Amino acid sequence: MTTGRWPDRAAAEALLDGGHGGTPLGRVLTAARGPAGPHEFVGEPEATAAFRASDRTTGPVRARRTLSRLLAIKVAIAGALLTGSGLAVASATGTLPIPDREEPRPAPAVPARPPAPAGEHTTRTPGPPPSASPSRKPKGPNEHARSPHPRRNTEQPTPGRKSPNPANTPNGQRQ
Amino acid sequence: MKLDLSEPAVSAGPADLSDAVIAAQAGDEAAFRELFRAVQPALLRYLRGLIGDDAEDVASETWLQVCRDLPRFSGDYANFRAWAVTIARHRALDHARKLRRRPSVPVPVEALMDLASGADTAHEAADAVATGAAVALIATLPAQQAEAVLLRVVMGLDAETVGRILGKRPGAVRTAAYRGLRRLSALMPEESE
Repeated sequence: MTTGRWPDRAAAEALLDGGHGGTPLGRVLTAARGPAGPHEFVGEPEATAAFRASDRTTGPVRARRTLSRLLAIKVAIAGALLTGSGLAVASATGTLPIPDREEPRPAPAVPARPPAPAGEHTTRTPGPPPSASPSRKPKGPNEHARSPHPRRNTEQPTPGRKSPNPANTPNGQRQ
Repeated sequence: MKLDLSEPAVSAGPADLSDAVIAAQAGDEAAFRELFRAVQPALLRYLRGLIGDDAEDVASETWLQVCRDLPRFSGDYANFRAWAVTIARHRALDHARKLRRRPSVPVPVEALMDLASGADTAHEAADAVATGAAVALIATLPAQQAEAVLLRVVMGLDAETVGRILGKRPGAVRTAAYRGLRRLSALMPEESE
């Protein structure tokens, strides 16, 4: 800068790569990258201890890992058993809606049914109102005989037969 | 990148320790020691140039983090060096932030003059003094120039790698190092070539 224009860019790159060792600046840079002295390995015991402590793939830590994996498996099995038995209990006691086959399929005909004004209709279905017709419609008359709600069959025996199309069902029921 | 093999470049040692990296990741303590011994001297010099006397503390923090994150590290020895430097740099910047200033690195002027003039530094103690003086001299540069020179000379990293570490283009790294060397050259007692 103040003294001459050496090094230029090329010479600077050479210096950075270890060249021009005979110049004052070259000697400084050579010294900067010079051989490591014993004092420069300071911290090795601490670093090694940290390595030992944090390493998760060797010795006792590996055993611990295996243990925790076993534990996780056990917990998973226990969880599965509990879930399974919970289901069984629920099924047995009937608290789950699964046994009633008519329950889960209300969707298609639901909108039409609740507004139905017929008195007979509302008293007829104190339980789950929308469930009866959708399951009844697509099925044949034999299905009615097997229905868990025989009342529906007797009071309103024919809507399914008359109108397989869900859209017509409410009208048929009201008639 | 040109490499003049006639020059001793022990600390920048390009010996490929990629196998040691893999072994250390698998838990091999001897391999970890090998990596430590290969990286720590240069890392300490770099940190000394950045933050002076607290270099050892920051290097220690750096190795803690290296140990902690080593299982998740992926790469060869060159990547490992760059990774360790990146960690060290972040730790050093945190440290400097706490101090709210860039720590000054005292320059041993006499040693520097001996060094520049080519006085005999054939034995170990003189080597150590010369090395310390050289790093201290580089540390007097403006921060960006100092860091570029330290990473390229002391850590032996190329401009591309230094650029990745500093978040700069390689060209910007070359320019910073070049300006740093020009400035250093102006401090030298004499010019040659």
